[in-house]
Amino acid sequence: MIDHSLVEMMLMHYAAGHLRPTEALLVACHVALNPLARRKLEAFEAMGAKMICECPEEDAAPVSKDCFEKVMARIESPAPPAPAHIPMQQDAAIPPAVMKLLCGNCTERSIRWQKLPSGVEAVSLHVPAGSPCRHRLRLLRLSPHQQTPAHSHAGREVTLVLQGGFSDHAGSYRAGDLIVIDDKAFVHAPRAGADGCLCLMLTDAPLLFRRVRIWFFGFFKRV
Amino acid sequence: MIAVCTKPCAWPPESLAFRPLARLKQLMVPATPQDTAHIPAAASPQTQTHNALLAAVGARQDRDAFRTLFEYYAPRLKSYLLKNGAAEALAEEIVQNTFVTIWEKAAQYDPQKAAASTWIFTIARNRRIDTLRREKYVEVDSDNPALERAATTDAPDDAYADTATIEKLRAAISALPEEQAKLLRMAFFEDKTHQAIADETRIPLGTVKSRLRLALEKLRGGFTPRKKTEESQ
Repeated sequence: MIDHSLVEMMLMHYAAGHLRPTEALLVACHVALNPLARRKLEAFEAMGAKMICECPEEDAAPVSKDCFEKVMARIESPAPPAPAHIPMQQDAAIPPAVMKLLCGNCTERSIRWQKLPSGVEAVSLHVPAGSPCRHRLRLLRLSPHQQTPAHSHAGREVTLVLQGGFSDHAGSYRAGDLIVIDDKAFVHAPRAGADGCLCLMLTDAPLLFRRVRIWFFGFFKRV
Repeated sequence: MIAVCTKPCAWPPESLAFRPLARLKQLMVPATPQDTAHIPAAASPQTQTHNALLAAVGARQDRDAFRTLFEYYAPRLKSYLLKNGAAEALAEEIVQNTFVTIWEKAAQYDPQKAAASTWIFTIARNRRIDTLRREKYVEVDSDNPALERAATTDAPDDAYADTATIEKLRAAISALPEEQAKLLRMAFFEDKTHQAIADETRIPLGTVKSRLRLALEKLRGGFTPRKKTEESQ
């Protein structure tokens, strides 16, 4: 089951601008894929705007006299060209913001997937500057009906389903869902749906596999 | 998303249930003020003025409209930035960056989709992070075909938070017990971690987390989806 409070907490912190780049990436992609999440985010943003508008006159901090002139001067001067907006391709499953974090000029087809000891295919992403160093971002791919070994989590795990879906004993999740697990006692063995599953995962500590063999090999073969 | 339905029977909603007699009665009796009480009042005159001003900046680079917006929002944004821990000079720089971006992007503003204040707030928030961290805040990609696909299949017509949603959220916030509302304000407006809130209010960390969780659960009423498709996601 999705813990909605944890997801809403992330949306709220995104709206307020508190998230680290890795977390902000996941929330931005979640919102881009999920219209209900977008409504929630916009409600939180409206809450922020309301707070600014309700600021009493005496609390407002006057800006310096030439502030407006400086703004106008900057508008008049030729602006550096804005970075080109990369629109998402019609059939793409991976958002452009995520593609940018892959090594080299990968396209979705030329990603070099690595088989993990657990049988899951994964590829590591660059962690954007300004994120805590323990954050790891990965794309994971499961083939249809593939089951991952049971594991628990040493830290927080945030997963965004990009394509397909998966399920575990607690519920099933489909494209656009964000799943936040922040419970060290939670053990699950996710199983991909009929279309397989592609997801983006943020962890701040390794997963703890129940079976020693996987843990042992995993120790030597970290992506 | 899998929304947990707390009400015993949320579907079909009262308005869609097949009750021909009740419906006939409704049609015959003129609406009383109580009946229309749930309909939120139209956007306030101030909101409408700001929306129109921002649209004017976008449509014909109206400098007077831009100046009016600047005079209203600049001191307020600066106050917000100072409260969030920016130094005086930095706050001023962020305000300038924000208004340069507002000018550049005003043509993209659509009053149908968002209130001017919300639009300006999100730009100020993004510029604040860009300026503080020297990096770009990951923004929501609004022209994502996957979103369009999702929106055409199971979203309400207005993917954007409408006035009703915001009104509901506002009502839900004002109905929160003071202890929860205070923590929510600290978490949202003052950029404080749960640990910092716990230290400042001398409330144990676990209690801070559970109170915030309770507050968000109450706010969820403000997001109640209107369609069953969303309910079953």
